Amino acid sequence: MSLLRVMNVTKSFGGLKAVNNVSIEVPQNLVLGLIGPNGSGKTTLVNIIAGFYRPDSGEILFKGERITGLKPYHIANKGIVRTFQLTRVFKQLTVLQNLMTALNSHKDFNQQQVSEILTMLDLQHKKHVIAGNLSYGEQKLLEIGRALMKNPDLLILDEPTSGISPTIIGRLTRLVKDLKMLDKTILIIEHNLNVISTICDRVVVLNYGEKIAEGTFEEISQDQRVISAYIGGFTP
Amino acid sequence: MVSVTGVIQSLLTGTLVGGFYGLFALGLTMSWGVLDIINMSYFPFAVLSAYVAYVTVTSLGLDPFISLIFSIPSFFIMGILMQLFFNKFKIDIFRSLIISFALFVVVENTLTYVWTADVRRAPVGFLGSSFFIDSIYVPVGELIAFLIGVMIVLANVAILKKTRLGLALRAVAENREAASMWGVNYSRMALMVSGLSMSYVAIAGLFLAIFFPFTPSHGSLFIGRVFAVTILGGLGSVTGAFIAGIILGVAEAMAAILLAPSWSPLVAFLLLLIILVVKPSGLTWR
Amino acid sequence: MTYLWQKITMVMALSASFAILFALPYLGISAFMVSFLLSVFIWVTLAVSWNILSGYTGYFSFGHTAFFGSGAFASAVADFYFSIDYLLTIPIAGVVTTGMAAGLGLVTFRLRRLRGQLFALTTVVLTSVSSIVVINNWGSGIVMYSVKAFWPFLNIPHVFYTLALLLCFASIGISMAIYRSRLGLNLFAIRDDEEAAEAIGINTFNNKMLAFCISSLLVGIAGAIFAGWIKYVWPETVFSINYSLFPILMSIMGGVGTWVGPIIGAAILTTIFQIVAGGEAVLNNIILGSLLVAVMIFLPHGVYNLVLSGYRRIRRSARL
Repeated sequence: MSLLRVMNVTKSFGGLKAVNNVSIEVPQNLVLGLIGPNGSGKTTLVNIIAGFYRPDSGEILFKGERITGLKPYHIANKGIVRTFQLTRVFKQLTVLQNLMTALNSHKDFNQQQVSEILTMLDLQHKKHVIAGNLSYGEQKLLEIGRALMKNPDLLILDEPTSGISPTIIGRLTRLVKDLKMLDKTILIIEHNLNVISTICDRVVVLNYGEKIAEGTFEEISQDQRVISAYIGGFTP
Repeated sequence: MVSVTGVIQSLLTGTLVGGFYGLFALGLTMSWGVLDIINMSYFPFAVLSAYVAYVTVTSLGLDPFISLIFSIPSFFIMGILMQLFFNKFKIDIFRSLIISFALFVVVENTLTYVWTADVRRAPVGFLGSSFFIDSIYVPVGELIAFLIGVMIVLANVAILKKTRLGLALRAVAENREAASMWGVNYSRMALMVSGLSMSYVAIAGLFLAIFFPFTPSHGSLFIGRVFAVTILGGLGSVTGAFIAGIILGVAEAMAAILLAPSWSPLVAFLLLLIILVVKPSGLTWR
Repeated sequence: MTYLWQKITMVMALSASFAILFALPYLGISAFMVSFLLSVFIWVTLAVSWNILSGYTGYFSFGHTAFFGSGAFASAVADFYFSIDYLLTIPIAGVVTTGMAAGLGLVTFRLRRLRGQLFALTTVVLTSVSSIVVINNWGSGIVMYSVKAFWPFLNIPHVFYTLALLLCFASIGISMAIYRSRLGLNLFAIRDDEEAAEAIGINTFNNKMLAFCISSLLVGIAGAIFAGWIKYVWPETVFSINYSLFPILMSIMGGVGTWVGPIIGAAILTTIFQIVAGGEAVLNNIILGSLLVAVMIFLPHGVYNLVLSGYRRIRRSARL
């Protein structure tokens, strides 16, 4: 059964169609990659799924339930949690407090869950450090950890490897692999095709707001349209 | 009893008064829209300009408009100084609100210290007169203020659309970083915009002296209206502010006939709430 | 373990100060002191309540004047026109101001763009407009002749002092409770990054409304107590812009966003005012305005944080 069904979603800004009639299905326990040149509508699509934008047309179903047009916090509480391209941790709160914002009440505090996540992020020793004082890469990891605290059914990562050093990319890739082993469903936007090829089961390719290809990494990397979108000049 | 004449009279007076509101709001909308600075001190500064006009008339025996020869350049310079101050300390928009509010208090109380809280009325002769069209009373001073407001708006539109300076201004209002990549010197532009905003404030202050008997705290009476007009018209839009001013003026006039004049300031607030619910970006898209 | 100890010391310190302050008027301090302390309690309440919304969420409000004045006037109107028992006018005032806040929040907290700015400006307009309207319509003020009460409470000496003291400590308690609670964490998250807070499942609208309503409830009650105390409720007095400006200055100077900051700021500033009070009000205000500008530029994190970071630096160097 599909966890998430994006059906014919379109969104325009001014005269520009940022997302044009895109349909995607994300089955459970799958790691789906979402790639495409800059400006192809990936983040816009994610914003729509997460409730930050309302699509002009189309529907989004999550676990069979219609979530189009719901507010972001509502969607987050239903089980879709996303991270941001430019990481947005709570800079004045500590690492631990950041994690705790994901809980619905102080009573839900599960010491074990917190320790596990901190270990996964390799941030156990920085529990009480103010998030603003972490390195950018650590903040990225923290943001993912914060998302994990919510036990999301669908985790959306928006360019998790952008702006961080190769070492942290390694940590991050390992983290996502661990999550995969825990049977989490993940949607990843990425430019780093290495990461995509290593961890994604399937890949969707967008260009100029349209879905131009879908399949395994091998399949889409041989798709003519995909190749020309990335390498070619102006695609009509 | 509301007669047709009464309604027309209200519409006219409301429009003219609204023009004044728009005039008063010009400085603020530019400052907020282009510079990201909400400058509360414009209100007592307008009153300062009013005092300058008052002194020009009473002590120098000259036409109040002459005071602009002194006040516009000095206000322009003060605007530049304020912007330098904000730049130096890297004030963000929220701190600018609080700091300018503090400045408001300082300026207003300085005015009280110098001129006392006594009410001043500048004898304005011709400008205080009026004429009648068909039993509709048209106040001359307000009409002139309105026309000057229209001229300023038209001049603004011309500059924005036709000159390179205008293009630069629009670019900066949209996206400061991108504009600087194209060579627009933001800091210099900010100084000019700030100076210009203060000049508008000086003009508004002149008319304040002409229309009203005023005290040092007279500026505060307009806070609600000016902000409502600024937001209603869209931040940064001079045309929008002027039109919004007229709308507010008319709405207030209507409310005054239909309800009671003492509640009319509430109209500004209600209008603001309505706009925020219906179309938060204001009348014009920036 | 240390946390529990901290909690106990805190509670003991607060209870002790409450007891001392409560007893003071009966121990024979001058009427002037009683008056001064009463005003301190009101200012602390105003600063603390401002901080609950604006310090914790970052949504700067200039509405305190409107709420304080409305609370005072609501109490006066209820007493004068409807002969309502004074003690009942207090919750009435609270309901009025909470209603105002709720209405305002309903409109401004739902905005997507520029929410902080538009909220701040809407409160500026509210304050300005409400003061003008009240001055227009009730310019000569309302005298609370009756200030009667069903219970002979008002025959208790220093009753207003005690009411103000209770309100003050209640505000502090509420502010502390919020600071440590889930609500507090949500508010801090909103202050840091509202969209990220939404993305993690925080209902920002509800949380902001709650903070705003609690804040204005406290202010409304403060206004009602003030009205009962001065008995001659005059618009220019209770709608003074000082009621918006001072709490901001106090909170920022003391340390915005901590529960203890506004208390420190209020204490420092009321003392400074008392010392300078000999001078004219006008000069006072000029000094005040300049002080606020200076504080905003040079001491944006307030005295509390200054002391805290100084303390941390000393500890660190002590360890080395």
